[in-house]
Amino acid sequence: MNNVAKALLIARRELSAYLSSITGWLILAVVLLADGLLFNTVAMAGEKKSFDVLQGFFYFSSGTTMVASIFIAMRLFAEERQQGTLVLLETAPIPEYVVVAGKFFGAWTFLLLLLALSAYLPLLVLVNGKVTLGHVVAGYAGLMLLGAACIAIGALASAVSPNQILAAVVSGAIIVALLLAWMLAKKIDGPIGDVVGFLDLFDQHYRSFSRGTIKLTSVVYYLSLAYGALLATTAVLTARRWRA
Amino acid sequence: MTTSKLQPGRANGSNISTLPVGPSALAGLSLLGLFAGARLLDDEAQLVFLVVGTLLSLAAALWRGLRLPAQGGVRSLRVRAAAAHAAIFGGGLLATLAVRATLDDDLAAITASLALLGCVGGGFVLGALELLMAQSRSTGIVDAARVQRATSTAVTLVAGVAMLAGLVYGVNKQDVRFDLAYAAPTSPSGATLALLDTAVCGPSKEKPELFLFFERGSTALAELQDYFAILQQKGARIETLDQAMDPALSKAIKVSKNGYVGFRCGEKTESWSVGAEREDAQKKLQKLDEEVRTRLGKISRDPVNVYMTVGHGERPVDESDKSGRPAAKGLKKLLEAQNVKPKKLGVGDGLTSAVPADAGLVVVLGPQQPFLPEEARTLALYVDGGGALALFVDPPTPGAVDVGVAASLQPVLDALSLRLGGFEVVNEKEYVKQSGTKADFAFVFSTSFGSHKSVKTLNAARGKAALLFLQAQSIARSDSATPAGEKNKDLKISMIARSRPASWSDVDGNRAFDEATEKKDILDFAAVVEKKLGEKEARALVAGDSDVVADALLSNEANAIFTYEAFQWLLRDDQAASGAVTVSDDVPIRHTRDEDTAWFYGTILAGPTVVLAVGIGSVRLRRRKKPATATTTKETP
Repeated sequence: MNNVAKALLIARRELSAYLSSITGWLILAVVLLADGLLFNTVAMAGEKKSFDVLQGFFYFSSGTTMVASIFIAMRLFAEERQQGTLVLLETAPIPEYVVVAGKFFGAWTFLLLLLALSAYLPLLVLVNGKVTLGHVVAGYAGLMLLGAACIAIGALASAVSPNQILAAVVSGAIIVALLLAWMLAKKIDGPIGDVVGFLDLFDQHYRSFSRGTIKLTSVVYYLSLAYGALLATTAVLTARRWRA
Repeated sequence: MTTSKLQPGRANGSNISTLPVGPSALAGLSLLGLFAGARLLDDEAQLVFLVVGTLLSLAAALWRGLRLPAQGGVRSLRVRAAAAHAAIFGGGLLATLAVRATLDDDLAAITASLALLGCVGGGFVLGALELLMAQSRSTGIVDAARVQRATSTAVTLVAGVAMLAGLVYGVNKQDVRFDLAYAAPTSPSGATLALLDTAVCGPSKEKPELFLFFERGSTALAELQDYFAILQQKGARIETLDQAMDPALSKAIKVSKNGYVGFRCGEKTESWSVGAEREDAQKKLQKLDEEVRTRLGKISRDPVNVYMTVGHGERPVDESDKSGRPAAKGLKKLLEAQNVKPKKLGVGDGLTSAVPADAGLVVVLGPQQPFLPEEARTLALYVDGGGALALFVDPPTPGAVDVGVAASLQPVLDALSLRLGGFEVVNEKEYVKQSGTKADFAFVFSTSFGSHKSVKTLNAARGKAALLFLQAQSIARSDSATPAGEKNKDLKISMIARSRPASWSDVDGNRAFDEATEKKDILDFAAVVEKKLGEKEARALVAGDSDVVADALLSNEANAIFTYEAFQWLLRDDQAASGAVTVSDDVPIRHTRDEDTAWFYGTILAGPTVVLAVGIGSVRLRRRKKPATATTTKETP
């Protein structure tokens, strides 16, 4: 069995773990409920044009996606550690990056399922408005990339934390720090400020997706962030293996 | 080879106990010195701190290397660790110096990124080494293999992040974007780009300058960046700056605080207050393109006076007009965007004697009452004398008494060698369905256009773009039909918008074809007339419908393009490239609570409920299957 097949096997196992527990379904239902309420009370409030409604939907959906990502990713390694099964992964004849990739894709697929289930909300605009498929595609592309980055960060937090709660707190802290990078950037002059501003998770990169524009820079940023976090996660697992 | 050299070795216990704190503290001090030298201090103090920081960093690197245990295979590790430290601090130093030297250059961003990466990578290496050294303190053994793995992991991370940073930087420089939104206010319209394309400022003929006065990290600025990036790609000189940082420029542009967009073209300046933060700017940003186009027009073009006739029930163009007649406010905004000053022209303004000498164009927009003979003669003389005239005349309403508007304008039409059809043009096969009644037969359109500057974009989109007319009459040449024909042989008449085949003038007003009195044909809805008079050139546009430029139809992109290009030609702005005015046909979503609440809330609750029900069902099913499978497995043996 090659490494890709092994990674897919782990991913399928992860996805199955989410779907065979009530917690996984509860996350789906709660996030959909939150999306629905926000859609109806915020995005659709008043008389707004379709564009503004869609933009509003993708604006607050980013929040629910980030929160959902934290809860989805917190169990990836911390749960294994709590249950004492992490040692099985550490001693298995599988490279660390395959384990990390498998777990990441399992969690991300679950997030994609969640996003797919929420698609009926923007389509509600069809009732009295005018939906652009391109805008919807761009918005969901942004949510998928944002979710990938957040899940990768969550995986890193889960790998370094002894339990799931701490993993959620750590990943939440990292994500909040990245969300607030723009505030720090305001206080730093020159190119360092530009660099810090560029690291901003939302304002600098996600906003254009919510407005129907796909910027290649932002796509690469999210993929890089996800890759970097997964690389760090692999490094953490490697360190644990040779420390043992 | 390497592995054999780095076998774990026993270290000298006294050396190990003194390892962790000193070099790290020194390293921290050196970085602090470098940072203070580069960012906080001025002149001589800056230099002192930079030199001290540099020396401290080198000292830290040497100290770290020399204090490592020096036994057996660990010797080479010492050399490696010293080299790694020297590289990290040296890189940090170079990056900091480069940031300082090239503060406003692209290179500064790269070196700043490298400086950050150096710090992060250095942190990893230091952390790993200190951890291992601390462990070895208790055992007295330095595990060289572990140190090597820690270092290689850190190097991998730094290399990975550096590669990603380089990739992100490269892609960022390319600035590739795909705008998939229906009515994205993030992109300038074709009209704005066309305006920018033709705008030249000052004797050096440079493009206009646009200044974004915003504090770094402003949320409103984030909303504007995409839009202005495209303008910059098209040649506009755009600068983002803090208002407080350049008081002289702020004063010149008349901007007193952040949250403004400044425009400058030669000596002319304009400013637009957007708001410093997103919440303040949200409403204004919806008109971003319109505001930018208007101001670009004002600074890059000489003002032109356009006189619009009044006193004959013409369509209102002002926001304040409460006459109730479908207005043409969009037309006025479009004109203003081209640095046009719309003015009124009635009897009190001299319409019975002469058109003001400063008139660049006279517009007659859908009069409902006849003109006085003196007024008509004034307009005819104005055109004959090389003036520019836009004449939009609606047909009489079927069944209503014809008050003689067209007849009163006959002198003008004679001067242009044109005649009006006098009846609504209808088409029972190709029309715009609106009410589902026969009245829709008069909601006609044109997809065939003449080869003329006034319709060049529409002509290029022939067969695709549909120019809408609501109750229009036909236009025809009158060269042979009127005595004026002899006089006007030097006129150049072009028909610019034709009806669909099998249209007819509805003579009896019943919107049904009567073979005896009516004839199906391709009719013309609009014509342009040119006449050379030495240096001057008379220009006129005559259309058999004023709805074509009114608000009701201006939301149709073809109508907006027609309006923009036709008036551009009338205003003699021949050099301007044609460009579409982006008009959003996005509609507000209206949902009354009574009608939609149940549907909306039902869907909101239904989604999560269905998901939860499926989830519970699926989990229970799995749980039921598991024990059964387990029992079977047990029983099988």
